[in-house]
Amino acid sequence: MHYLRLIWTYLRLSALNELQYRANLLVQMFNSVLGLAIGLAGLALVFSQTDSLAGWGPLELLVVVGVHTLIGGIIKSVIQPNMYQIAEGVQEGNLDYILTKPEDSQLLVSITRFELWRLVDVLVGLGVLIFAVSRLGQGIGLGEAVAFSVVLLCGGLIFYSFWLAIATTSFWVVRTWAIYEMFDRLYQAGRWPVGIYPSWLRFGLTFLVPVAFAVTVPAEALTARLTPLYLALALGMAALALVAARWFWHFGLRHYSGASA
Amino acid sequence: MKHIAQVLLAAFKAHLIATFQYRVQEGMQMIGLLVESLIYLVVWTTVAKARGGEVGGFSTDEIAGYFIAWMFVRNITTGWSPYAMEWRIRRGDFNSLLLRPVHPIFADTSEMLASKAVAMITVIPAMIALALVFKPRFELVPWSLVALIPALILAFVLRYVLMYVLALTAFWTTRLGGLFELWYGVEFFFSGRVAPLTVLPEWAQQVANLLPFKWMFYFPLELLLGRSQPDEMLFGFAMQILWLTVMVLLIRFVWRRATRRYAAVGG
Repeated sequence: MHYLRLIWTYLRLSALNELQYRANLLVQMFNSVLGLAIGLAGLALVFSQTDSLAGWGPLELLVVVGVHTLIGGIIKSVIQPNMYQIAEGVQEGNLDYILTKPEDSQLLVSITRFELWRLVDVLVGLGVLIFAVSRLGQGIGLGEAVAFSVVLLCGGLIFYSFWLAIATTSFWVVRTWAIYEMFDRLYQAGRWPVGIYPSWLRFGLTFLVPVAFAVTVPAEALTARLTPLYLALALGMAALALVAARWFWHFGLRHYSGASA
Repeated sequence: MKHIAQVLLAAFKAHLIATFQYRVQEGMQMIGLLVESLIYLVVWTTVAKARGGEVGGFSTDEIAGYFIAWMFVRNITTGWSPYAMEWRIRRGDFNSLLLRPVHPIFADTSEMLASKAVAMITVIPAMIALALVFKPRFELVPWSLVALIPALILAFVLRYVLMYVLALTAFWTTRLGGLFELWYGVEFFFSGRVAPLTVLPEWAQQVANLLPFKWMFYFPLELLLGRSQPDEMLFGFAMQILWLTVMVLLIRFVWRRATRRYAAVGG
């Protein structure tokens, strides 16, 4: 309860700050729509040549695009900004102020920034999902909806852990932006179901950079492809990733001597 | 002239050293490039297989060849990002550069060449690795490879000058994100990066012929793959030179206005 209040306060402060820059909403809307248009044009190009891509039809791939946009929005609004902040904090010494606060350090560094306008992507992704699912015809039962929500949450948590681990490396590595850029590229691979990739790449996209769990698995839940095995695997991965990331964060902290002192 | 050569050489050396210092970063960028080509290699191979082994006049192994050669051409033709210019203008770093007695484009250019030289060290092994995995089919046509050299140089210069013009608009807006994204989006489809242009619908192929993007990427790529006919090659060179002339005229015009406009943020 106490933690929820803390999160809420930080979120509200960030949101109020963002509300000052309303023109950014227009810029973000433009970028979101453009991103979607590029994605859709890519799909149209593929499906002008074939009826199905590795067993996925046009509407089913639209579901993948929807999930990809939605998760991408969450990463860009809630996860990434905080992780940049950690790296910057180490370089400039601001991190020390956070560490001296009498609350859980991992929680604090994860909620300091929130980019409100990036949520436009989440809305766009949801819109695409609703459109695609309603057209699919097979309908969505309560079971599918719950399974989807669960694996989506797992995907989000796995990604968060992954990012926290990368941000933690900034205790040792000074320039981390190249990692972020590489990640952006790798995330683009998630626009397509990971099943189309050769097995070594599929492995990498599942366990090294968890694009599969964040995008493909939730999309499978909505297109009646999810097997209980993958549901269990997603839950297991999420738990494991959270524990590992937390351990690594504390390990990093122990090796951190501060930059401002 | 000798003076400018000295400037170029000094900037080249300085940047070469800087790039080597941040090896990890270069490596990461390389992985990014590799992944982008890999995604579309896989997507179009899958499509070609579903169609019985052909898409847009490319067989499955030729698709692999296309996207492997893609990496090479892309590394050579990518210029330096307009975001860097925007950042420089916004931070005020541009002030001291403008005070120097040589045009900043010279130092920028040799920095560019230095990082390309370094990047090739990683691109070539990556291409070999992809070739081993995907077993592409290449057909090396000697005259086409000879024509490739000037085509690549022109493609690079054209893209570079174009980006420079685009970056200069930062003098007016100082916030450019939207414009660039739109630009990259159009380039993505009409340059042949997402797929061979022959996969595009007929009308889009016609549009691609008129836009500059095809001549900055697809044209040299086709020469490398030996897929061009002699008359197509001549037309390609003509289009490259035409666009380059337009851009050089534009850059002179814009530069003069831009420096007059420049307000020295952060002084």
